Amino acid sequence: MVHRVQERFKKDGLAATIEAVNDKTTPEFHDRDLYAFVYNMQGICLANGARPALVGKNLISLKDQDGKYLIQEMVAIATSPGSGWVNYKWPSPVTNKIEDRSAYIEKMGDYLVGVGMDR
Amino acid sequence: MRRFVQEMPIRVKAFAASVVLLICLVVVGGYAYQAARKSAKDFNELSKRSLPKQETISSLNDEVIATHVQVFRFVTWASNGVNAQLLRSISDGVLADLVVVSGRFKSFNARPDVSPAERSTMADLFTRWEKYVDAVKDTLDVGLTDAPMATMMLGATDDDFQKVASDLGRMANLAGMQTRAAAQEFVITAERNREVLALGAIAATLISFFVALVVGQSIVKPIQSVTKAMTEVSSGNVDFDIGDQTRSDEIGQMVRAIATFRQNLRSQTLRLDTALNNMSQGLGMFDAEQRVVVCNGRFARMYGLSPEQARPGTTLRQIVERRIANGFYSGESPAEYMKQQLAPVVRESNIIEELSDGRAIFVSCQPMADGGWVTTHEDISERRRIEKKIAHMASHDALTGLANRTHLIERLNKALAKLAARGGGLAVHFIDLDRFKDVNDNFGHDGGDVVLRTFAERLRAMTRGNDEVGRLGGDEFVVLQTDIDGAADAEDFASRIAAALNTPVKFNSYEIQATVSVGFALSPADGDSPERLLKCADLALYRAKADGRNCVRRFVPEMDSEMRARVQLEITIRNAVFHNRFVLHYQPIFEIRTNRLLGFEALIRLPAEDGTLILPMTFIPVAEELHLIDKIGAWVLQEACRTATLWPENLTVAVNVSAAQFRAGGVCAMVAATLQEANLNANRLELEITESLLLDDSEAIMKELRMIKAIGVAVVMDDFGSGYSSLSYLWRFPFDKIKIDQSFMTGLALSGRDAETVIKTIIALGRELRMHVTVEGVETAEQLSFIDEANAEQAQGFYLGRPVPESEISASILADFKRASSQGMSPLEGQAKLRIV
Repeated sequence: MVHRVQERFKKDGLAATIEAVNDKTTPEFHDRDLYAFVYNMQGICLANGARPALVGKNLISLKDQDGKYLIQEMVAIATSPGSGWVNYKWPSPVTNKIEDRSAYIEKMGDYLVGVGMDR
Repeated sequence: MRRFVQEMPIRVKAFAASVVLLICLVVVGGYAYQAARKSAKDFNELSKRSLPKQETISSLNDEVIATHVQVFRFVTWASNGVNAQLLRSISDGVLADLVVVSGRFKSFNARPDVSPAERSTMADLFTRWEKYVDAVKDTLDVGLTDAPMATMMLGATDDDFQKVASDLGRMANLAGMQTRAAAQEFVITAERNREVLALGAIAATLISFFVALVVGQSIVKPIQSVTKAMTEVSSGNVDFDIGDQTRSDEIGQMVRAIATFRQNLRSQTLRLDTALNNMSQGLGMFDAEQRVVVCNGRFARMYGLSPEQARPGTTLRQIVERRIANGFYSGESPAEYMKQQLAPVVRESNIIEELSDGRAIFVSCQPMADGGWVTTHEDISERRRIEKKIAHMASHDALTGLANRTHLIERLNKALAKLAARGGGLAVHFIDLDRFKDVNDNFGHDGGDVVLRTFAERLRAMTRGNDEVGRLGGDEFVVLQTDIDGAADAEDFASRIAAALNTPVKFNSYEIQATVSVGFALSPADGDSPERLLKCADLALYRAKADGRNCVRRFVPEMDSEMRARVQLEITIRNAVFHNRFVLHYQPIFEIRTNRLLGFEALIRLPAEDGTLILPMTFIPVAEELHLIDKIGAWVLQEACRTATLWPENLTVAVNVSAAQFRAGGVCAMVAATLQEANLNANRLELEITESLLLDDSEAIMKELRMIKAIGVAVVMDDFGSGYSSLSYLWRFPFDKIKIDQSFMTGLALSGRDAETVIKTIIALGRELRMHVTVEGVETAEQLSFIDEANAEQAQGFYLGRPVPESEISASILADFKRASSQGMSPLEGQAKLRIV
């Protein structure tokens, strides 16, 4: 799904990508507990497939219940090596409860793109 | 400099000291004021800035916390699924709060008292706050729709909050530190001020003390010396050190004033001392404790005290003791004297102390108000002696030392009083020197005085105890003989007096032989009063004189009647003088050859009480004694001249002038005036004088006679041949006429031829001397024919005409006319046989 996003990005550009990610009706970016999200390298949420409220918010300081600055980890991975996994606690889009989740992160241009899933 | 400070006027010193004190006060006070002001400012700073800043930060913190709590509340409520509307209102409230707090941050930043450090801290804080605000806004925004996510975001938001809170805490800390620092500084400053003020106050106190000390020294020391000087002055000392008179300040003025005062005091003291020590009296002033205050030299000398023994402070007791020791006290015993002297002086007293050494001291005491007294002592011994002498002189005769009249009468009074009480008798002898005037004339007054003194001595030698010898003046002595044994005793005594005084008196190389007459009277036989006895003795003396002097006469009662007769005569004379009762009788004088009337001699008569006429030989001597002869003489002259003017102009009038009148002087002037007044020609007046007038051989009288002769009045020698009859008188003055005394006519009958020869010789002498000659006392025809034969020119006498009153004169003049006519001659040339008118 990350790759789909990557492709879309490459194909339609950022705006369309973001719109698509945010649009819950686009199944290519939504699959049960999976959804994509896009952040720039400053931690501003550009798109979130599950939680639209976060779009536009700078979440660089966001930390989970264990105190992990998950966005900062994501940025760090996106910067180098450019892709990887980040484990964190996050409200599940299914249960709407804080669950242990993992996300795969990839650099996408000047942005990073990730897909989260329950563990 | 030191001197300058010293001589600065006191007011300048006081002013300077005040200025110094004021400066100290201003410096210290000014500093205190400044410090207080700074403290106030600091405190103000503290309270107005530091404290509110801290409060602001604190409240900001509170508000931030409150806001954050609201955020939590929002997230909590969102998670619990409250409705969207409520959530939004909470969200709006939080957003509003955020705006308010942001405003607060901004306004805090705008404060002027925010330090740069605070400002930068605040800027950081504000940045964090902004971040927090963004976080909150995101959280709220998310929370409205996505509560779990909001919860998720809350952690980061809380982190931001924690940062803000932590920064606010730091800020608060900083502000608190600032306040503490300011407070600390304030305290330190206050502490420093306190120290500075304390030091300043100490310094000011020291300076003031020093200045006060210096000024005080320069004022107090001179004042002390001035005070000392005044103390010296008040204790009476005038020779003290007075201090520096050249100072120019008030002290100098004071010192100079004291110097002047001392000078005055000195001169006063000197004057007082001079006055005290030149007093003729001894003076002592004592205080209430009977101590000498002042005492002059005479007082000390009077009682044989040394000046040291009578100096101020000596007690009266000491002085009296020394006086007694020196033998100068009065009264019965020294103890008595001491007691009397130490008695307190309570009232003025004046006593005479008869001192044991014979002196008499007049002591006067005068108490003073303070309990002391002043006493003056005057040695009156000499005065007493003089007083005694004066008393003696007053009662005694200076020349002879005998009692005078007053004293004699006093003695006589006493003796008479004794006589009345005890009986017995006394005699008063009146003694008079015979012709004492001759003694004076021959031996001078010195001779006379020797005689008087010698007589006084002899009389005194003859008297006994209670007898008294007195001199009544001139050559009159009185002896009071007491305790006589009958009249014979007195008579014997009088004779012995006469005998004693008749002994010659030695004077130089001469022996003066003087005799006395004595008259005496007895008491109680002749009288019992001094006046009466003296008068009786005087009458007896008068009789002794009358009996030829050099004899003793006792008073007999007949003398009384004589005396009374004399007194009566005196009265008659006086009355006649004052009431013009004298009368003139006129006796004619004839020219023998022609038997013609030449004129009249005016003869004075005194009409007696019984109508008879008293002749001049009786009353003239008495009138002379009464010193009335001048007046009588003048009256006679006037009356005679007046009468003569009524006569034919060829008739003269002769007037007798007594020697007493000439001695009084001015006869010629009086004669001239009388003639002029009566309008009588001078050549009709003849003045008859007796040769006794010429006895004095006075040039003044001769001159007077020449002047009388010069105005044309004839000067006639009367009674020639009755007295000394010195022929020398006849050529010593060119008399116009000589009147031969009537005694020659009497003698003619008795002595016969001898008398005739004398008369003829005098008549011839007169003719030779070209003087008219009148024979007086022609009483018979024989006498007339004798003198006619003797070629006498004029005659006067009873045979030719008795003295007649004025009223009868015209008859004799008429007769003269008739004689002249019968002889066929003019009245003026008539010649007739003399006949009695």
